[in-house]
Amino acid sequence: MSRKIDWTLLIVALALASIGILLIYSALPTGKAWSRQLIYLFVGVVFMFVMWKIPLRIHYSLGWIYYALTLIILIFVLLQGGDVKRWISIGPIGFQPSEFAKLAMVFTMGRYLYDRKKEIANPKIVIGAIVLTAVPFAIVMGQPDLGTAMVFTAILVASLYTAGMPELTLFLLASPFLSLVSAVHWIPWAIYFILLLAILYYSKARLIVFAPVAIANLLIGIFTPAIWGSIREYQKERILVFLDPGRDPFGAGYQIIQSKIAIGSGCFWGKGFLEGTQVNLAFLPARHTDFIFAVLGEQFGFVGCSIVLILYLILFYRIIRIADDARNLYARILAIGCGAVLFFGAFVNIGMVTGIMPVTGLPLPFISLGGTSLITSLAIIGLLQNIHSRAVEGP
Amino acid sequence: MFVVVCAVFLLLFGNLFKLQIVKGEYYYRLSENNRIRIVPLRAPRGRILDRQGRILVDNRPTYTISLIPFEFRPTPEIISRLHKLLNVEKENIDRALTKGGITRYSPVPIKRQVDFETVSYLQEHLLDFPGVIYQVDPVRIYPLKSHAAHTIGYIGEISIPELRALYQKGYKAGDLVGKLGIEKAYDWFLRGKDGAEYLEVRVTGEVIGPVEDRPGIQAVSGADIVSTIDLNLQSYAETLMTAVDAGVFIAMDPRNCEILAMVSRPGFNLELFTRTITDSIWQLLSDPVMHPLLNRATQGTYPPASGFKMITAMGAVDEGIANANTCLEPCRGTVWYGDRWFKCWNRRGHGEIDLVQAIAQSCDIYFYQLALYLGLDKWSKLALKSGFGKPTGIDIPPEASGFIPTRDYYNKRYGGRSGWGNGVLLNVCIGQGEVLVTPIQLALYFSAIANGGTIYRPRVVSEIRPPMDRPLIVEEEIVGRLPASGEALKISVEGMIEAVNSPLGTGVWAQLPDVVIAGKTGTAQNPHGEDHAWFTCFAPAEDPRIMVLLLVEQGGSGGAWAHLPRDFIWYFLNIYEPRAL
Repeated sequence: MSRKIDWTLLIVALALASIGILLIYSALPTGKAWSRQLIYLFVGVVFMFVMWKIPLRIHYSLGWIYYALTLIILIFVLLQGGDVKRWISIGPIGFQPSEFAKLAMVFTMGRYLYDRKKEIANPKIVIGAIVLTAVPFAIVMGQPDLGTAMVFTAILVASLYTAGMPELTLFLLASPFLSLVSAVHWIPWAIYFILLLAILYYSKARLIVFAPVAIANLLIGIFTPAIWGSIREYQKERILVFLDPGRDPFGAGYQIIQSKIAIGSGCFWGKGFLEGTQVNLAFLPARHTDFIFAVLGEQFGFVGCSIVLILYLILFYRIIRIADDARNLYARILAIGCGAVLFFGAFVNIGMVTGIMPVTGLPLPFISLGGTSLITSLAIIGLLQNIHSRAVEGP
Repeated sequence: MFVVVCAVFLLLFGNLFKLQIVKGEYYYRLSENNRIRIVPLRAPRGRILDRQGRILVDNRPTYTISLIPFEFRPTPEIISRLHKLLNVEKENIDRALTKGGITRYSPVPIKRQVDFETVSYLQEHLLDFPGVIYQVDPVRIYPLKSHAAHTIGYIGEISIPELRALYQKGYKAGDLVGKLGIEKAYDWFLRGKDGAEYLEVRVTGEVIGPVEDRPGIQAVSGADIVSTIDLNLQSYAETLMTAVDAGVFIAMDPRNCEILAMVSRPGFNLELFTRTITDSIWQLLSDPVMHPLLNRATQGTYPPASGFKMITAMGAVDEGIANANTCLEPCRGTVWYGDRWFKCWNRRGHGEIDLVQAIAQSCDIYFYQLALYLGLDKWSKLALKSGFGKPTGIDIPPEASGFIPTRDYYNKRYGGRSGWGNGVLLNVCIGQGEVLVTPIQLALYFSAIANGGTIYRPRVVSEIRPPMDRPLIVEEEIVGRLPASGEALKISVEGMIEAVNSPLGTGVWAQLPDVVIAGKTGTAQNPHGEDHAWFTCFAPAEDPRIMVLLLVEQGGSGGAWAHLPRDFIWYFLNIYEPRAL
């Protein structure tokens, strides 16, 4: 009974959400945004308790239904038109299905991989997992929402790893993408390719693995620059702006400058609560949502940012522990999948606001204004508590 | 796994340390005392070239004075000084301050093409006008002035509805966009991509320099557009058309339907649009009767008149109703049909003639008879398949569709089959009545007759030349075939040759000594006044390399204007072609 509740996890999550409300208040003191977020927090806590109590086997049996519903809703959002298709409205309540979709994908991966846990090394199983991810991936790319699509990929990789896929296999699977990325110039690619061959050689890979991996990487390394060279400048520009909206000097590019100034100007101690000039002068249009970290940086400085980062670190540490102690593989995959959603969101968002990651429009878990995101994050905490409460006692 | 998490967080920590501790003071200064000004670097708009690479439209640098709403202080004193300096109204400044509403920190132009003196004054007194800046902006110059105005088109500041439609594609408030012709249709290629510079600016308006660790973005020039228009041919056509108050001239290569010259009269001087347009000029440009901004070649609709006899003729040949030598009831000037007299344009009658002569002499009575054999349904199907009643797909929209009446249309209009008789057919088969075509449709049709029946998509652009990239060729595109056999086409051409070269032909004024021209006149009844005159021709008849269409609004008889296309063809074959070779 002593392990019934993971108090650290609970307290850290609620602390992050409270910090979020404070920051939203300071970003928009006159608006009702902060009180709305407070209501979302209460709703989220309710969802948390619900997820806490629902037995895992129910999620297990509903795994495919979650998946189907998610696909239907995502397609519905895509088809409803408009320029940025991320919202759905039911009466007065609007929500972002892509947030729920992240959780649904965790359940889907758990169900799929748990059912096939004995054959995880079978390439067919891996390909199945990739296809399962590729469908919602393609739909959200059409919205277009690169950030959520990347979260799906993170869930896939984390789940495969947890299900027992060897690191080497994961690396080989990812190698064509690494090849794609390193192919920006021939020197990094050549180094990468030699490393890859070395790894393949020393791992004593069989020819049936060695040959396709090496050939796939070689082809990508050769054809990427060739294709990139043959497409037209404006097409390149479109791709680059899609991958990194910061290239648009009047939109996201300007935002990044302002957010870097806001964060940087906080220095060590910050300017104090409600004191930020950048934020108060409304330089940052999305300061209460995606760019909320800039508010933190300006008002609470390096100290404040560090505290939030450490809170996240504690959170992820607890999640990994919960996964390690989980009763079975299904629960473990769920725990790590949930962790991947939160970790990827936090990393990409903070990276974006500080200018080292592209602007993708992922909210900062627990902190950014947004009901769906907060509720999903708290539901994830509930699920983790659920897994924790049913964990096996000791070894 | 926790090691991976820690490694990633170490990266985030490190970056925060750099921003807040190492560079903290720099950013603090930026946030407290200074502003970041985002200055667009205008991409030079691509040029428009003629088919031989000669310049039709170019750029020249000018100064634009802009306001940055965020930095501007709208005190009465500053506004009245600005008003005096630039001669801009207070309302314009207010509008600039609220315009777009998208960005308050990027400059909104308030006065373009400011002279150097004003700019140097502003430079000296920059601190008196916080938030007022000047930039170098390329402005269009038109060496041809009013020539090819409708084809080239003009540019102007983006309107609110345009901005709403194009915002997603990266258009901004204050952008200049094409409003007509090539400038509009190829705007995306011409405009290039604006860059930007991020400048650190003191609150007083003093520029300190570019922002550290976020370099600006270079502007990318727009692509040059190579037109199919030829500067010499266009100029020659414009000269010929000075004799015409309102009308259209189209010269086309019938082998691929590239437009070599296109004139729509009345025209306008493109240079008007490089300055602020005064109300009186705007009134002239939007004159509801003359409508000089309307490209009559693509947007004007007229009854095609006798040009449409070709449809009836070829239909009759292919249906086995007539061949080249078929003589029908002789023409006596009028014929009784249904409940009234139908006249031939020649009241004395053409007597007994065959199909070739009927085309040559444009005998109405002969075609009434053919049309009655053919029937309305076949006739309207042929007309629709020949490219009428729908846009041609020319690359400079907008374009009118024209109109081809069908059985359904008459049933609807007259309330069923009993409400109308075959008399309507007698009208439409000679291109009068409800039939409406655009000059470009008719030019396309006659080009197809000239080239053996292929309908191409007409175009005014052949190539897009992006800077530092391979050119993009706008390929010729076949959109259909005339519903006519080789025999029918041969008889049509024969009739058109006779129209110009036999003594009784309607187009004898188009005769040239050394070359055989095939042509067709047309005289379109105009309920509002004098008839519209058409003349369409191509040469050399045996292997046509040039097709010319002329429309003169209220010009009377088509044959009376045949000398203008003739002169153009003479110029084309004897001056233009030898020089081009």
